[in-house]
Amino acid sequence: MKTLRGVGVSAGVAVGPAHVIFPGHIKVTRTRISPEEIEGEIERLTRAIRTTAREIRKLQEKLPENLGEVRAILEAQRFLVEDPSLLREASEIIRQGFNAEWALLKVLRRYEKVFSELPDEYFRERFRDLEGIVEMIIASLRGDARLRTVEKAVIVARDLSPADTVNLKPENTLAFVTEAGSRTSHTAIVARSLGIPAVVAAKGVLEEVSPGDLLAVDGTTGEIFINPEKEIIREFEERNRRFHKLKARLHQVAHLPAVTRDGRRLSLRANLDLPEEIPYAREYGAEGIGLLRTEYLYVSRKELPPEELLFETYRQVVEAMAPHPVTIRTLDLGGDKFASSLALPEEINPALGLRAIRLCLREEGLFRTQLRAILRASAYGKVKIMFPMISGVTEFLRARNLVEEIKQELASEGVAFDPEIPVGAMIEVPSAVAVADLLAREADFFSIGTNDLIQYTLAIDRGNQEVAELYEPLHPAVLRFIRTTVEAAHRAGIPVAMCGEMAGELLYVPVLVGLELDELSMNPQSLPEVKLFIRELSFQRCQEVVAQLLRLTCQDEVREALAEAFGPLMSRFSRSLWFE
Amino acid sequence: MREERPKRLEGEIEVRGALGLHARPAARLARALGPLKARVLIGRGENLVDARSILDVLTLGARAGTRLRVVAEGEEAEAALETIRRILEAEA
Repeated sequence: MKTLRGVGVSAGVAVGPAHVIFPGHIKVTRTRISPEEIEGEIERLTRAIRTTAREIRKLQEKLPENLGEVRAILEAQRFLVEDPSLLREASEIIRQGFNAEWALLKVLRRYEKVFSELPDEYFRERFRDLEGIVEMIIASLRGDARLRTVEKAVIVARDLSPADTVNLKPENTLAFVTEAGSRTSHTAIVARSLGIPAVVAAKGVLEEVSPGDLLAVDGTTGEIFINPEKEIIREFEERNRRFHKLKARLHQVAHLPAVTRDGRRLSLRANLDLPEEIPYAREYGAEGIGLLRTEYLYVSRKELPPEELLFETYRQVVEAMAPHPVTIRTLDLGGDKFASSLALPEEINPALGLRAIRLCLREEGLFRTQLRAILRASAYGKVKIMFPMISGVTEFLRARNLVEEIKQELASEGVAFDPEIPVGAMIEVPSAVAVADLLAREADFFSIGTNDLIQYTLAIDRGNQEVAELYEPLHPAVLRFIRTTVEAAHRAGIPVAMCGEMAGELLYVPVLVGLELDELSMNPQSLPEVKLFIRELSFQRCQEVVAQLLRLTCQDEVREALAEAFGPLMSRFSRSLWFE
Repeated sequence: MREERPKRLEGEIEVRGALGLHARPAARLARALGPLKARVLIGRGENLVDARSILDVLTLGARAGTRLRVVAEGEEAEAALETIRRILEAEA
């Protein structure tokens, strides 16, 4: 058994055989045809194109009305299938005496060259769409409209285009696992809208998985087990039942407050990457957005995004979530992502380099544009700003002063914004924890980003397989840092949120409740379960257990003590979810 | 000579949508031009492609702010030019 971990982007679990799609493998044979066969061959191609377009339309019609995003993607795909140039060029090649499959491949190769020469990545990537579509038409030509579909399987690929997803017949797709991609990629959007579990950014999956391997995939946690042992399969059956039980109860759960049995109230919010995810955040009962990331607007293009685009995106989320607050994190990218537009030097150690708030303070123009967009959006609902990777007071004040400057600028232009907009610091760097008391005097709130805080505290890169195992949220140092942060904040009278992965994992919830976090922000799909669990907990008991955990020497002891204290409750809770 | 020559109109249009002339506006363009009686070409200088082909329109790689030359020929050339202008100059 081997375990991989990617990013869970569409909730649900699946166990099934792997169907691996290796990239760039359209195989067709070249056949000469006689002059009298030519018209028939063109007719055959035209029919295949029509069939393919019809299939896409069928899928389009199956989608619920509210999935405008996916419908629009499919609509564009359908037009691509019926593109006049595609048919015309392929027909010309058929007239030279070749079969339709070969003709399509020739056309594909010509466009590959044209697209590869485009300067803009978005346009270059559209070749993948064409490739997917040509595969579909070829499959249809072979009289096998579902060439690549197998019996129910987990689809493993480098990346999937919307055309692939259509081609793969949703009802036979147990889950998607892709090596590339992010929460904002097509695979994620389509998978979520079709309710298919999906894990993206699963590094190494194409190397590790062979066709036919049994896979267990969890689209919430991002876990992938290759040829899992019996216990794992049993556990996945439980996870699956739990997931469906919860889904059925979502509407009852969504409006309930996250309050412990003895009355401690927490705010549960969603982490969001795309406005398109808003319906899920609401359906799962998010009381606002605790972390709005919009890095995709920066990396999907060659130039920096204009203020209008940022503003429209923020406004859309803010209006949709009102009256709940939306916490917008300012740009959290490294200089490497901007090499083209900012002409920055390459770095040896980007994790410790020019990134996040450092980059923003250096490239003030870029930062100002984003701050203007955020402030303008604050006129449409409740918005908070937070700065990532703050390492000390000076840095925070510089950023905060810039916000003040822009407020004045907007005021003098007569543009509306919220003058009381809260400005917070993300706590992700150990030095910020060390001066948390000083930062708490300047910031309106804290938000602990656990992924980076753990990485920087333990000096462990989780992406590095050699040391990934040492990444441990329950390390005594991490627990102490969280406690120090919360204490400093509460002494200054400001709230503390947590927006890392740790906040969405059931096991850690009693610890976070006991550490007195005020807000937890997580993937939308984790919200219902975390909330129901909080409602089973006693704040007092959590505090007692945390006090005990903080006295322990090493992470193994912490894990053991935690399991002892909350194991029975957790398993009772899990059972209650699926037997109720 | 009779007035039988088809109408031929030319214009220059700026792509305004934030994402440029990407797949969805290209699809909108193809759909909107579909029924019109006009041959419509779009591109830069002499490099013109069929405006009804999403594929070819995408190969222009036109980002926001790009100025494109449009040539419409036929009975409904005016309507075609207007349609293109409406779609490409939309801000979304």
